Amino acid sequence: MPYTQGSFEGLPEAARQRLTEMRGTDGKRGLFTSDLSVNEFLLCQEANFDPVGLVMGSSIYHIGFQMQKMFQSQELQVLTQAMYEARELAMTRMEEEADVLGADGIVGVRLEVNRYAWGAEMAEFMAIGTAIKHRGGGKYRTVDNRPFTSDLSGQDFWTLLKAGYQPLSLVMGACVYHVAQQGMLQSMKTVGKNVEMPNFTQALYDARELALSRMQAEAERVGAAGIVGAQVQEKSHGWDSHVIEYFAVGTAVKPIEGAPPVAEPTMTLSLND
Amino acid sequence: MNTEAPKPWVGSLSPSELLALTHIGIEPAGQVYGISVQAMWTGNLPVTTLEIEGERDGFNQALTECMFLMNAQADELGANGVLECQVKYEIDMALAGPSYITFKLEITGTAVKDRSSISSSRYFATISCGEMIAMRKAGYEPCGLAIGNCSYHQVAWRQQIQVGAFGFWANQEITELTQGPYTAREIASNRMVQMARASGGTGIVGVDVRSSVYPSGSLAGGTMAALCRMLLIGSAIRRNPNADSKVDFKTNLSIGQN
Repeated sequence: MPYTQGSFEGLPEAARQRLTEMRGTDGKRGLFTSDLSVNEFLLCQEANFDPVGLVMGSSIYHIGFQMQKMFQSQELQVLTQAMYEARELAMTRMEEEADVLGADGIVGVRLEVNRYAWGAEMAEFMAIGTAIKHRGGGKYRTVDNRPFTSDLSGQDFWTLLKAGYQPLSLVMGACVYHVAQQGMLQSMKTVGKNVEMPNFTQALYDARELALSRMQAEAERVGAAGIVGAQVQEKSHGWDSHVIEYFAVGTAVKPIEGAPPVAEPTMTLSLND
Repeated sequence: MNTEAPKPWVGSLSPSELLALTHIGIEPAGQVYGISVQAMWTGNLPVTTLEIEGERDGFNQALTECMFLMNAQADELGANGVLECQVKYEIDMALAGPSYITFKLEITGTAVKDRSSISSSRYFATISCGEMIAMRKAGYEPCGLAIGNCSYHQVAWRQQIQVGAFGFWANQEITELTQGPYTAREIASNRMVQMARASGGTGIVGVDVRSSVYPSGSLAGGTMAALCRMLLIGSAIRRNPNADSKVDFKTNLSIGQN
């Protein structure tokens, strides 16, 4: 879904009204909402960012059907495409809300997928985060003037800035893969033996690599120097036991030009466990 | 003369939190809780898209009762603040029989005697005692709970996902159904903001988003309907105009922790 700055598409009337009120008038902002913890909130403030509002995008999506060959490992492209597109829809709506609020970025982004027993072919995709704005009018928006997105917590965001880097975009890569089932003869050969299951190993490798390479390609497209907090999640969203989604997600970052040198860290021993 | 010794307070604080709380003039007073169970007759859900007002009214009634109970217990303990409020909201569709929805709202918290509070009235907050210390050091004060709730009945055309003979195969968004949780969230969000404003807050932190979507039955003509519930819970805060708010944050490397 193409991102249109200032677009209200899909937002209910109440949302437009709420966002306009929160944006405030004559430079005076309205009451802000945020899912940041107190510590995250204070650290964002210390980094010269003010929270401007809790932003959210969602999409209830019908996931199509794809035939799979029982004895062949393969990517299920229809399903991969669905997982990508629905997440993009939710992300874009969340970014549009942040844009309406005049935010420079969104931190603490969570991407959730909920499947419901009553609608096996459907899933609800949600993107939630806190929109923030730099107090000094710093240039933190992306090159195409979108608010940056990041799944980093307030603490990690503060530390990243202190390390001389800024977030660019939440980058992700998905791959839904069907792992081939073993044939009868193959199963017989392994009875009573300790052996590697090469077809399973290879399939999981391939799926993970596809997800990771897609995430990296997204980071390259936004001109990132690296990805922090990258994680690869392995999920089966109610599909059959041989179908699995690898979902790689992280925050693409780049160095801040002219950033001060990194301060000497203080070593501490916590009083807590 | 009353010689009865005061009862020991009960709290979930760690010793380090207790130490830090004492440092900022807060003393734990004990646990307080409020609980309310409401039953609502639903009858037949309407075939139109609208908010279920009965659930809204029932929730508001339950919230009022919980707050009344917690205030009464805090009075007994001589507390002027309640921290670490945990809100539990459960809905049961079968408990009170057919056509009834039963919901239980339960709020628990740690009552405190706050000698440094600038507020003339008692505050309630979801924030932990540890967070309270950081917040006060940074010049912010809790004002009260900010809660918004909405149950929204959304009607969608199921044919939308059965376009043509092979619609089932296609990836596509169910736009009408997507609109349900969106609208529910907006209504709940507005209520949460209003509650925060009423307590004098200028912002809300730690918002917990709880949402669910349930089918409410198939209607005539292949129309599908869903009940979208949204509950937002956070803590309203404001700046203390008299506080020295400059906190010296340091980059710490904790040893032996993730």
